[in-house]
Amino acid sequence: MKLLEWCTNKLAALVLPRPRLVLIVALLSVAVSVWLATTRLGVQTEQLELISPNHPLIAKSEKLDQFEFHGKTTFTLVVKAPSQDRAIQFMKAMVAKIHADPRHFQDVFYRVNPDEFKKWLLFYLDKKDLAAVRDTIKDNSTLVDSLSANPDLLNFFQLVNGDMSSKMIGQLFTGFLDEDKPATHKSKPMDLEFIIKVLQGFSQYLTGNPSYVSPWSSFFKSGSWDLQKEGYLWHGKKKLLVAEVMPAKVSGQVSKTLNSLHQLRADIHELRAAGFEDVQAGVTGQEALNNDQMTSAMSDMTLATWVSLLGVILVMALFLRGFRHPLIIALSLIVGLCWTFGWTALFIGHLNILSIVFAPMLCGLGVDYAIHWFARFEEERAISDAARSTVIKNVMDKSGPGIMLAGVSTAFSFLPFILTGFRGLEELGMITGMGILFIILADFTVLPALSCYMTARGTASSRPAGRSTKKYLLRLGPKGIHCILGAALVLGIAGAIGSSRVHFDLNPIRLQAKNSESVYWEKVMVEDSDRSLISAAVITNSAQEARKETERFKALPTVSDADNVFSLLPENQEAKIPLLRSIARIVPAAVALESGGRLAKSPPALDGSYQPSLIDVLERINFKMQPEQASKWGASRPEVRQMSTVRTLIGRILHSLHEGGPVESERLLHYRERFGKDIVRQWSIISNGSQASPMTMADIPARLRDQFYQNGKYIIRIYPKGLIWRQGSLTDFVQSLRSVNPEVLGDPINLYVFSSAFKKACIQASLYALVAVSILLLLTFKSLRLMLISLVPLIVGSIWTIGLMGAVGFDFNLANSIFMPLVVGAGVEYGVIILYRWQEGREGCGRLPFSTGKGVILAALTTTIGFGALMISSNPGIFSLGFVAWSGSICVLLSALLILPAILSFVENPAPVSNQEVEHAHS
Amino acid sequence: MLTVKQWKFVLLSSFLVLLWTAGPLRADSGASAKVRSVLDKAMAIQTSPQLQGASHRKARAAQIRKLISQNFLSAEMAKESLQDYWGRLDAGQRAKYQSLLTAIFIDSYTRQVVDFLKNEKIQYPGEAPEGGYTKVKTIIMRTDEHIPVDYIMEQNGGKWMIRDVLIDGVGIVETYKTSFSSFLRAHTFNDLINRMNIQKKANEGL
Repeated sequence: MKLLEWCTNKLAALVLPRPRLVLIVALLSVAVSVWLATTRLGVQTEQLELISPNHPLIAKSEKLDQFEFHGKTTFTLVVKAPSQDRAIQFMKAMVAKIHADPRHFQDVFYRVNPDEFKKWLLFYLDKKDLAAVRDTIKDNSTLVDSLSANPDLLNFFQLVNGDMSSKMIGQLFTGFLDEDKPATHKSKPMDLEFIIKVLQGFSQYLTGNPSYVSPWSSFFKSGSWDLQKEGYLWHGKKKLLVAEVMPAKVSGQVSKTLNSLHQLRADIHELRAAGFEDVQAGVTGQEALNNDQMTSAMSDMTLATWVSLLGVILVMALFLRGFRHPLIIALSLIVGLCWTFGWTALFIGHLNILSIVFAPMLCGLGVDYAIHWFARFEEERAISDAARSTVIKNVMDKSGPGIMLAGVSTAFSFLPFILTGFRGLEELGMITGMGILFIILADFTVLPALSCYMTARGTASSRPAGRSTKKYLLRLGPKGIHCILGAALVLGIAGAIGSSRVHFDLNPIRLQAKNSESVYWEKVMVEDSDRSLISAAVITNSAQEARKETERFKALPTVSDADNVFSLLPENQEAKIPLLRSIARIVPAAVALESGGRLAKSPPALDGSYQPSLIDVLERINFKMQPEQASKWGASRPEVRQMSTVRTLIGRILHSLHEGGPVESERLLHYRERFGKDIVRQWSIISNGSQASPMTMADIPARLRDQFYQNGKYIIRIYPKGLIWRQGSLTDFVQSLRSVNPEVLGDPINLYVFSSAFKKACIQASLYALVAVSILLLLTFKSLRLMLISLVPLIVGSIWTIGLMGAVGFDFNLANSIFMPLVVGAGVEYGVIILYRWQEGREGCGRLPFSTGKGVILAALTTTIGFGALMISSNPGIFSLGFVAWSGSICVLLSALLILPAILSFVENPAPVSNQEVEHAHS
Repeated sequence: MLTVKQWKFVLLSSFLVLLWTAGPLRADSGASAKVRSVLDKAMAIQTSPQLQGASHRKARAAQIRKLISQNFLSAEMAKESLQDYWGRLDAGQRAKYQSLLTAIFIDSYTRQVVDFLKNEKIQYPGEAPEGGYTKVKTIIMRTDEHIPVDYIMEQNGGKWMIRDVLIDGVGIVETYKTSFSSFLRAHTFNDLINRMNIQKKANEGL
């Protein structure tokens, strides 16, 4: 304590004779600090770097990043449209915009060229589907053969009509011969679904949007045949279309990719307004989530800082009855904050997601010392008519050591964070601890210097003589003391019971701002996903190792699936070869068609008979689609609903052909051309595919293969079963993977390591802070009893707070776990101030002097505002921290104001109050 | 010597005479009239006010059946439907088969007419010789839909008779040929007769 007294005396001796010089030096140093902060201070968002920049997982994760677009940062563009065709149209338009803007985007990966794997398309079908393809070709051999010879639209409809006629006449006159045939040999129901697809595409092309839609996936009953829709990155049962956009990195304080993210969102907005109102699209992915998180956190923090500063000034103005003293306090605080920013820029160089909250916190915590200073100043001014400098000197002498002790205690509660080894907390501890020391320094230099010029004049001379100046905020009788201690005990027990409901919630998505676009689309993807979006990974050195370990991972009960590069290859290829070759024998020589140039050639222009012939055949098909004709189909009867659809579509087409002008004729020509080319392409795929050799790893398109295999390294991706956010699920998942391979990597591992390290670091930080403060208090008070008493508000307040969390359903999470070490600083401060004043003596039993109580209440209120301002954040993580710290500071305040004087009433008073003083007090 | 003007007159006259004499042969040899007559009669039965409704369906079917049996060469159709197999049958088998097919065909065609033929607008684009027979083309016209029905006509005892019908290009005889041929590849002739017997009995409720 003598050291503190020496310090305050020296500072008073330094400042009071030369306040102007002190202020000039302070102003200059503030200017330098602001310059340093604006030029050198950045923001770091990497999760693992919060643990340690040298954490082994960082280097390993970088190896893993190479498999994700060669380590390039990506945004995930998600498109949700009424139909797959519409989604593809939107995606193509977006891709064109992205390619045209190299200033913001490096590249976009939205599709694997289907031509690269169409040769092996048939291998991707299972044996049942392959048999179905073979049977479809056999059943429709006339159609297939005739179309391969003449791949024309008119020929197609003529073949369809002929087939319909044969089926109808056959059923009518010789249907009785089929009656005892087994079901597999009976003529199958007329597949009008395929005819409907053709008619829909044709009708739409003629009358609406002239974009060609291949109908052949309906013919073969498989979506794989529509190469126009293949190769895209479909997600969630093909409901969502995604692309990975690689942003161009530019310099930026929060993020180097923020401008690209804004541009991508602007492009989406612009495109939707230009005819894609029915399409929903957004950006998500880790980079977008980080950007949104940091942007919203920065903006919330800026707002919270100003709200906190304004709130603190208003509360002070209310308590200190005027704006002059609050202004001095605020100026001193701002100087302290600026020094802290300058120091951080110089010695740390960046803020992280944890340390970013330091500014509003310091506003709340740091203002306390100036408040205690002015509370005593008002008391001294009230009892003395001395000059300003004398009053200031009295305050510095009497309350200075106590205030400095409270400040140093708070700083000591933060500085031990350095010992946790958790970089995020180390930096927070250093910045906040140093921040408190800088604010203390400002409060003992700038604040007295300003006070020399700006404080209000004394009022002692205007007060009636003989009236007592002793005022108490709290005067407890024996009954009151027992009541308070009893109530504290009951609340403590209730708090302990409530605490049992509080768990540690790992889910990082719950910490993200709910109104953030990236979070919205992340949730859409999670909801529509058939497996977890998050996966672990293992890098192996050989194909054999990769296959073997994949099987071992798949066998784990915590794993839903595991993929490696071989998962990209079709399954059981050798077993499918006989079936494929049987298809090859019945498929027409489509290769000849393709090599003969049919694919490239356009059909001849329409002659005068083409359109009438088309109308004729469509009308003949229409005749067979009358509902009363349905029974003619016998066993192969199509559904009446489908017949009605065919009639409607043919009606539209006929109307267009009858009434249409040159535009319709032109569209007919184009549709005919595309339809013909499509037939040749489909037949070629089947012909080539049925003769292809099995696909090998070298045949996998490079962009896909690179995600699983690079430079002799094979990656295995492992997906968890169910949600891993539940209590213990992540631990079970990670530990089971480590039992197979301890070198397992990926987001679940990072999260597990991070959350475990963070939880441990928070507990360590709390303990270290408690130990450091306890040692400091023991050295200062030189009494174990007083040291323990000074910790009572902290311990009791913490129990009440955690109990309150349990009552309102708040869990500890990655954001609010930091509450524990934070509240140590606040909790100790009030105890120290009250104890220090009690040590001055001359107060009655169970009494709390008014000025001390007022200072503590005002300090607690400002702290509450500082923490409470965090609750304006839309970010649930920051909100939860704000709520927990806000309720914590209130609990600690109540505990300090009520319990501490009650406990101190049992301790022998260092300087007992005289009877005269008691009478004064009572009067 | 005829003058140029006279030559022109002779040529024109000859051409007109040719057109006048050849036209009826090409456009209406009597086959078309026969088809038109049969169709008109069928439509008259189908649209007769006395024969409307489900209660008169049997009476209507009886009249249509009679019309078909009088105008179709069903015995010839039966023979042609069996193709080469016909030669392997004895007289009894042939008679049995012909009788059954005639009955089944008439029943099937009768059902077709009774169920679907209305007071149709029928176009008669003309007739043309085809493989020793005469093909009379008709088109049943409705709004936005139509169906071509061609009749293969043969003169039998000075009377035009229908030997086959091609509905939208698919011939009834051809359908029988294909189906019987396919059936007889896997079954015996007796199986066919049994199947036809069953079908005949099933049609008796018509």
